[in-house]
Amino acid sequence: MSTATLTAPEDRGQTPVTSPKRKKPGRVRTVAWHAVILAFIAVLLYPIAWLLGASFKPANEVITSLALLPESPTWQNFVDAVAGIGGTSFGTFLYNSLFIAGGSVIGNVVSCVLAAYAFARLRFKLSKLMFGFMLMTLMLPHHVVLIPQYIIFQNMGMVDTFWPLILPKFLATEAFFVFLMIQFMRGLPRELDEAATIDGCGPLRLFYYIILPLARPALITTAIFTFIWTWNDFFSQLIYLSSPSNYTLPLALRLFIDQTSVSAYGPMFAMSVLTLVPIALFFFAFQRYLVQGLATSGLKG
Amino acid sequence: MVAQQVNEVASPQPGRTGSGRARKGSKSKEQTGIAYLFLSPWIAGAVLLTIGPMVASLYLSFTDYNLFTAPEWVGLDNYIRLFTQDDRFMSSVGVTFQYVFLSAPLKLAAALGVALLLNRPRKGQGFYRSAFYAPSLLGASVGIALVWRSLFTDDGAVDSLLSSVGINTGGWINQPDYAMYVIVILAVWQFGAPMVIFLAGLKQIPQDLYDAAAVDGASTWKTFTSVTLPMLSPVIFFNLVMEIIQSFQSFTGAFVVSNGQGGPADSTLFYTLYLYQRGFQDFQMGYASAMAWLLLLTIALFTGLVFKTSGRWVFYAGEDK
Amino acid sequence: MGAQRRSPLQRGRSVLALAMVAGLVTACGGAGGGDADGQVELRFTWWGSDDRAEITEEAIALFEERNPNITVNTSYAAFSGYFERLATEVAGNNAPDVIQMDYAYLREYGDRGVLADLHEFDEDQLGTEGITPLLARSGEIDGRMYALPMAQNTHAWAYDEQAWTESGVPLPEAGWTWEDLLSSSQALTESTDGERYGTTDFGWSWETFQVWLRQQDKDLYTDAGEIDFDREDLTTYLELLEEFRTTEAATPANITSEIDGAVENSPLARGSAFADFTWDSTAVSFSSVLPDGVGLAPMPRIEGSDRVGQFAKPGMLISIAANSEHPEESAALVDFLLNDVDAGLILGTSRGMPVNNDVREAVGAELEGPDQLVYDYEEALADELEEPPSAPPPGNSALKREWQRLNSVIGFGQLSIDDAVDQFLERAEQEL
Repeated sequence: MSTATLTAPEDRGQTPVTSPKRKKPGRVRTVAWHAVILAFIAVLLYPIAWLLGASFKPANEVITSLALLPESPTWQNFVDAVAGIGGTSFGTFLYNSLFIAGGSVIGNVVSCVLAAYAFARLRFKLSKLMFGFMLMTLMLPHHVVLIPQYIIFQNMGMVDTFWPLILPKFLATEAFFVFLMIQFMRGLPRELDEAATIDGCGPLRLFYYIILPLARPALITTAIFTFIWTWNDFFSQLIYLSSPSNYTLPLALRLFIDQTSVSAYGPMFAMSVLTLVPIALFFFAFQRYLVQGLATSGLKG
Repeated sequence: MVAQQVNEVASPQPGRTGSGRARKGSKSKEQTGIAYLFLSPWIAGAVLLTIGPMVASLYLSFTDYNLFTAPEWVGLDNYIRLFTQDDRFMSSVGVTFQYVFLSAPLKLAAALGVALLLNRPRKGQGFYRSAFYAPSLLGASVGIALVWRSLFTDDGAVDSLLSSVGINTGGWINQPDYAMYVIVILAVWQFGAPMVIFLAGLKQIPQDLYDAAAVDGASTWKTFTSVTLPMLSPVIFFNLVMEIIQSFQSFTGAFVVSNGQGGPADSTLFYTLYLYQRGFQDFQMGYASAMAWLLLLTIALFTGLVFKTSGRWVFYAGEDK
Repeated sequence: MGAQRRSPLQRGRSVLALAMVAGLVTACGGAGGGDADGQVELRFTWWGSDDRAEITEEAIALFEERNPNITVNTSYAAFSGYFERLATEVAGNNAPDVIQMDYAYLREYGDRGVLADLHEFDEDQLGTEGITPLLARSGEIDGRMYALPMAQNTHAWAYDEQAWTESGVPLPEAGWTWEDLLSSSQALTESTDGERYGTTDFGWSWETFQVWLRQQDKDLYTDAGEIDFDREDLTTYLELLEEFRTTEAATPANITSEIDGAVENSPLARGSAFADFTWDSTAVSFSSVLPDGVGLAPMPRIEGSDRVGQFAKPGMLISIAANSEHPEESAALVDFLLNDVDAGLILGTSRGMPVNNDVREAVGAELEGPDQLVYDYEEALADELEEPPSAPPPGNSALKREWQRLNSVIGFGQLSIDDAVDQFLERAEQEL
């Protein structure tokens, strides 16, 4: 690979120019670009539109009709969804989900970035072995470790609390994110370390002042994914939470559908839509931080 | 075994950075201490939550364990049964390989393509990014399972669309020849996660590299192959490895769409779905554990191959000189 | 009872690593328990949807009002997921005190010492005398009573009453035969020019096969847990199913495979078939989907056979954990849920027809609509219903899945009946 191109530039003072080669795309091209993308998005979002449509369909229509739009739209599904389940309110489910997802975000970002820094930038004994083990934890289907893990939490008296869902995140058990951050940190120029070392920076200050700010896209990515994946996680919440007052939105969602009783598809769709709102907002709020990459985030700061 | 294969990538290679070799000695000792400090949450997690259960599951794979009474040692019986007596195991292996080779490349291609498309600053970027990510917000929930059924069933939107151009399929989700594609489409549709990772990777490429390329008068294509691709390669590598691992373990898509059955006619009986049926529905957790460790070996083999080749195509600005 | 402090997995002597880890962090072992003032906490878990949760909570509030020293902590989940959680809790030695149980799993739990023998309770602690005699012993395995039925259920052929009537084909009636089912289904399909099929292909239904076997004095399983039918029975039945498909009396494979156990996905509910095999209690769900109402017909019979083959099936059962710390209070809760008329009136038919005769009468008097239909259906069959077979052996769930898979594969024309029979028998040998 042409590494020459990569290490060549030294003229950092130059103001960033956006893609100088393609100066200003013509107006026609821009319009065409937008049109193509919008068409693509329309297809992509059709299923979500369908979900939205279904949430306004009355009970008999929701099962038999395959149409996108409801024939006689109704708010009733949302009223039922917000009414809660078996005496537990929608607000409780929402609060529990927010609490677990929020706690997980903090835990994952903090613990994974620490582990990743060690793996990516420090030299230490057993690093290969540990890294290999970490990858192995990703490869074993979690269904077979579920019961032993349950027993551990049971022994710690943590079953039916939020701890089994949040504590692992603080202990960097999500190898996905550790690995993700390792890859990002390894991409950061080594010259930084050397410059910092010359300035008398130890590994601690190097981490805090150089790596941490530069790894921000990876941190944001981790935060976004952790929030959304925890929010949607069903199985571990099902296993560890048994009191209805601890239930989360995914658990509540499933309670609308039961093969052995009358299912309520309409409210289920409505709750699906409501459940989407917080994560959509979360994503929308955080995605813009992805824009700020290395170029703007103070290399020379 | 895995450790060996990941040698290359596991940690910065001593010796690659010229200065690193010279100052090894006491410096690396100091680093070991700090490294363990940084790793302490991870080590606590491994000791407390990960190692024990993994060892337990390995042990259980050599036992007959019905969840409720103490496991009984049966040696290699579970493994032998898997290979000699279990047709459904064999068919689930076939289904899973088919899925991995279809969904992983398609999903990565879609993610990379869209990420490149969205990388250049344009009006409405935030909106586009969110729109492309929107399908991934849904995960594999009950709601989306029902949407998928309604789209791909007999007379559903897809079937109707195809019928209108003269192709009569009679539904996808309900036929063994097509059902797999429905799950693949669901997976590819949710390409948001690798897309976001690609985007973050693209943002990390220093602008001055592009500036320099422009100064050199490099073409768009040349800039792409000599700047974007190599600089993005650690992230491509990550996405490739994770996509392999995750698609081998794919579970929820097939689970919700086929309601845990793996039908029709076992055409979506994914490996982990069968494992789950064995463990939790048939109370054969020993057997399920054996399946799990076989899967681990298989995945390790494939990711090991990717790691092996990575020296040739993954470029780390932090390490190569 | 006290001997079970540690979970089975921990007792497995070689799981040292795990035990060590768990031991290191063991802080407290005593979960739940009674306070000095005699206050007792029970855990009760069931499956079911929103509606069932609401009325069950209501009934429990009444129980707590009457037993101020008992607090009941409830837990519920949808059927899909419920047994995974229960299995994990039991494996982790954290079983709830009172457990809603399914017939298919009774033996798995009972045989392995998870469930208490309800015979140990006196009649005044846990009454069984009022329970329909047919069902009272359905939770008994090898002389131990692992569960009591919460509801009665039986097989039925559900059909779209109005559409069937309009087609001009004679309605099904008691005593009809498999031939009648075949010919009327053919006629129904013809009446719509193949738009809608006479009946749902019942090859997915393991239970229908059971009824058919019982009509010939056989069954799915012997008491020893072996299969109770032979190659010839299998072949004959699969050929019968094939005839339904080839004559278009039943739905083709691509429609049949939409079945996933939920009423809403039945071809009957989706309007692609006139009828479907079902449990009578689901008629309520069907009628919420079919605006014109659903009819229930008894199972078709074998020409000349004097057995209906149908039996009173415990819809859902209720058990007490063997290592519950409060067996007596648990028994009181079970007794209340099954035998108390007030509780019965709150619970209604959410779990099916009540099993206690007094409750059944009281509830029956207040029924209307589809609930009334089910009630009448069972009343009409009451004299003919047989006693349920003993709970299915371990391996049943795997075998049932194999049955459904083979029928689907045959339906798609990917396998001959002979090969399917071979595969099934081989599987049966392995699983049982």
